[in-house]
Amino acid sequence: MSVQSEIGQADVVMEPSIGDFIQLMKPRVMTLVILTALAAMIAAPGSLHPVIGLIAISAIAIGAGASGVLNMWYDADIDARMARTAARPLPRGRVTADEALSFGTVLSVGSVVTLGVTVNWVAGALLAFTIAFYLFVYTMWLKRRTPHNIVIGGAAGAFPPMIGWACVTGDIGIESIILFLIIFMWTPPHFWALALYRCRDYERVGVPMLPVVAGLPETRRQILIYSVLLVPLAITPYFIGLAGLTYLAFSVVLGAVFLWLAVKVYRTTEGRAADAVAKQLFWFSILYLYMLFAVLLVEASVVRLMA
Amino acid sequence: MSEPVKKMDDAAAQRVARRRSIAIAVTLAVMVVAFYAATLVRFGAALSGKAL
Repeated sequence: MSVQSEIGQADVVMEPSIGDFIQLMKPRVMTLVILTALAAMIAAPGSLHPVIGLIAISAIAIGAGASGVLNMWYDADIDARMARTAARPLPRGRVTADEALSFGTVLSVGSVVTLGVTVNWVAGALLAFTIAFYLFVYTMWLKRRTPHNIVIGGAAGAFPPMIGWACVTGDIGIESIILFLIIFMWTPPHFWALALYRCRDYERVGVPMLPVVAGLPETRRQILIYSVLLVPLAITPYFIGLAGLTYLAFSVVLGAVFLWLAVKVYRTTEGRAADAVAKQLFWFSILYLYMLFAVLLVEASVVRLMA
Repeated sequence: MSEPVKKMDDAAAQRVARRRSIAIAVTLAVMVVAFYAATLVRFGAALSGKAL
């Protein structure tokens, strides 16, 4: 923790703004968490009072934000040396490490207690587990030690639909496990596509991402393998009765594009074209996950309204 | 650490402390409202039928 202390506890700190604290919570990640948890809540059998639903989704979003804050608190030293993350509030000295740690801890405890007391303790316990997993297992343990960091650590990002499902049912069904697995399998190709064209950044700060440790060809091969596993898995919700024909159509078309891009990444190995294709896959993978869960959400909402 | 940073003076530190206090107050108020609303939703009907 020495570097965090050096960065955060220096007496040359600028006045933080509300925007800095919002940035600490990784708002873009929060939107995806809200979407995936909400889709699971709507698709789950049973119902939740709208007020309880609103509290639940807010608590899940804040819990996800808390994970982001604690991640940035711990990773402030490497964030400062990476182009992609150097402008974050901690490396820039806009927020101190102590402020970030307090903020993240208060949000974590507040979100878990709120979800547990107002919704149910299965959901509350899952949220607590997610935050702990992201901080202790991914951020502190795996990220700087193994190229499998995002494979295992990716589970943290896959829990929100399971939490959303548990809010409604008080249980973990096979359906929520399928939704979990979709995000779990999506995470490696998504982050490895990013790591392909940010390889030098990770290498400089000593984070053993797959391209740094195993090389670019192996990473491209792994991206293709995970993509081949992901696409049929993403179609599964239709076959277990969780989603309808609209979802099936979208998941097939989007999956085909995902696979096509993964093959392009696998085949394009030289120069700027390789980086461009990796960027394409990275950005498309975000659209892919957003679209899958948005369609699931809309379709489940329509079914509920018509019932 | 790419930008030059300035030392926070007393007035700025006071502003930060004041904003922090307001943020804590707002957070607590939001939690109170959330818990109150959840209680009403969960027990509202049962409580309304009970004699005081």
